[in-house]
Amino acid sequence: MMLEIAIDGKKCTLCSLCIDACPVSCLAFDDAESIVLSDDLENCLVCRSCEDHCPARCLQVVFPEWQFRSSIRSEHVVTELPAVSDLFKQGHLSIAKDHTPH
Amino acid sequence: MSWKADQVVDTDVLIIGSGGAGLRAAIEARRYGVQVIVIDKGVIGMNSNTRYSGGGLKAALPGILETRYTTIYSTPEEHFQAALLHGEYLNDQELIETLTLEAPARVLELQEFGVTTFRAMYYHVQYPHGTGLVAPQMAYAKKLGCSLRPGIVPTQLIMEGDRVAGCLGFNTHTDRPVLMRAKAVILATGGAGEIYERNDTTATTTGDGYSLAFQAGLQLRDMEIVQFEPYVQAEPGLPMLDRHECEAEFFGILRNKDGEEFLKKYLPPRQEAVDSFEKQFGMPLTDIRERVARAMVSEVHAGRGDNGAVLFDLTHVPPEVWDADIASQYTKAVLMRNGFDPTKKPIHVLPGAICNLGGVVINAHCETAIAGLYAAGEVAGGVHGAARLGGDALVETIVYGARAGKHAALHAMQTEAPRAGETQLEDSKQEWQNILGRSAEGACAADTIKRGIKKLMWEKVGPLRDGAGLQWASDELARLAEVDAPRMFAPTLRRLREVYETRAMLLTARLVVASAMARTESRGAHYRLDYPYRDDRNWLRNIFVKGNDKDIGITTRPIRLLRHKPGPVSKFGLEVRA
Repeated sequence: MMLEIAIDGKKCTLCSLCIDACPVSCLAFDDAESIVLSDDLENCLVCRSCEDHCPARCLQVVFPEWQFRSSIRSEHVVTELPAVSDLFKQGHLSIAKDHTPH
Repeated sequence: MSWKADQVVDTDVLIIGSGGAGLRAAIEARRYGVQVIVIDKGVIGMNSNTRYSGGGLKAALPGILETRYTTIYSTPEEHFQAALLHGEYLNDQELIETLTLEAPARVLELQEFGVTTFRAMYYHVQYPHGTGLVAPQMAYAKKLGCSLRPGIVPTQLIMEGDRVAGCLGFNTHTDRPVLMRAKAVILATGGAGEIYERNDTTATTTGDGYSLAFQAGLQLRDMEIVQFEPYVQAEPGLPMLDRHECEAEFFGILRNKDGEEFLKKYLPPRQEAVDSFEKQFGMPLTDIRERVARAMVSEVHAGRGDNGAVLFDLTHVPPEVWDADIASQYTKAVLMRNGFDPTKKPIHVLPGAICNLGGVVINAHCETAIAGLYAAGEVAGGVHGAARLGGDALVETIVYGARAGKHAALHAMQTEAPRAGETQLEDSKQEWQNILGRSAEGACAADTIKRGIKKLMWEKVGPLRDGAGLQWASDELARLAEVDAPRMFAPTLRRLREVYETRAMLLTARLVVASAMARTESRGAHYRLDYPYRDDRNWLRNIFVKGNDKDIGITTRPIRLLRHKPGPVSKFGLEVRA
């Protein structure tokens, strides 16, 4: 039931991409600037950005509650949209003419 | 810390920032056949506010873009009128008209890039919602042959005569100083939500673009206008995350510590029945955020808050609503993980900064006052005026992103390649080396200054402001800039990036405070306790800032009334003195 960011220190190349990818600065180098550690996990949004960006695939966000990916409602999915070119032809759309710059 | 060899790159169009506007600009510029490089101080695209946004787009596309979370207008004219009324006439009418006219076509055009999903759809498919907007545009830009380069921190724009010639910076991934020479440069760095302790933006939005533009001598406008998002969590131990973008939260009720539904006092409800926000107040929350945020903070100021926040009651939300969409399920799961059950007790919430509406002065071509320099997206100012409708920000990224890309490409095709920059690079390397070589003793950590700025900005320059608080904030920021900021140290390049971010935050904060002090009235998102009325007699004016680190010069100019004269009613319930 607990959130955990598991980092495999043996595979980690210290590329720092996971730190760059975190929107809330959960991850940081430690004082020796050597190991990537999860600092402020209470801020973690479980967006999995760090996991997606890890080139060494050594990082995993462990969050068992995240099991609802399958329950996507389908009725909200917009499937058929008119082609843009058709709408232009029918005069529904326009790209604004450039104004004279002031 | 040892530097590796310099990297000097020449290109036609250089785009700084890789959020929605940066990627859209890259695609458009590349369509004209010029060489395009996109740089970002972190990863490309995926750590931008666009990605972590609610993903809502607003455009006059009735029947196609339909969602109950935001009003969709049937014609661009209606959209234009609504935006102008909401922006309390501070908008540049030319910019907002262009936005509303072009929005429908640009939104539909997103399909070409593989964005198959409008709000209603990707809302249910993935989290964060904006991924469906960023990822396809990123892939498309790559396919077209744009070069996307992560890890490059821009520190300075370089000039050749009176035109821009590129930018300088360093790469935190490869430890190399970088000189990017370009015929045209587009600023798409986003805003500065990070200057506030409470914010709903990613940690990278530190106002870098405002700083780069200001240092280059450009004028910035309306910097006092900062939009606050109401429902940002303030529960100890829980992430400071905005969750209004989910089904369940539209049924939530705000209460003070006495359990009173206080919002009704500030915003007259249309009907009494407890139902979704939209039904109760006659408009979606995203179209009246400034007023709700102000009501919440007012309640806390009046001593009716609970632990310095207000309560957001979701206990009455039926279970089927919690299960209705992935965002609600996610919200519940993340709360439950911390042992917090939103179905049993109310959550503490308090507003947080979401969007800076002011910024670099541009025209409808996205041109700035410097030849070859363009700005698009949140870093540019004037589109939204004093407040912003929900969905307009993402539409701004695609409409003005495309415009900046086009005009930068056209400019690059008629321009000679610049040669400047080598000497500036040497100077900058010297400066970086000075900061890197500084010992920690007697120096000041960037982190400490950052925290100081964030705290004082939230306390004194938040949704409620007053003259004395602004003066105090101004003095304190000036002290930080003079005494602490020059002593920042950085043992590594990553910390050096933090030093530059802190400088940008400090400058942006000072611009916000200086402009807020000048505007002695309330308008849109800007509310002064000592001037709680809209003063149309004296303040139908835009505030411009220009200058340097030492001296911020303020000028005001009457708003350009192209089509519409201001109406007598304020959407924000303010008394209007005409």
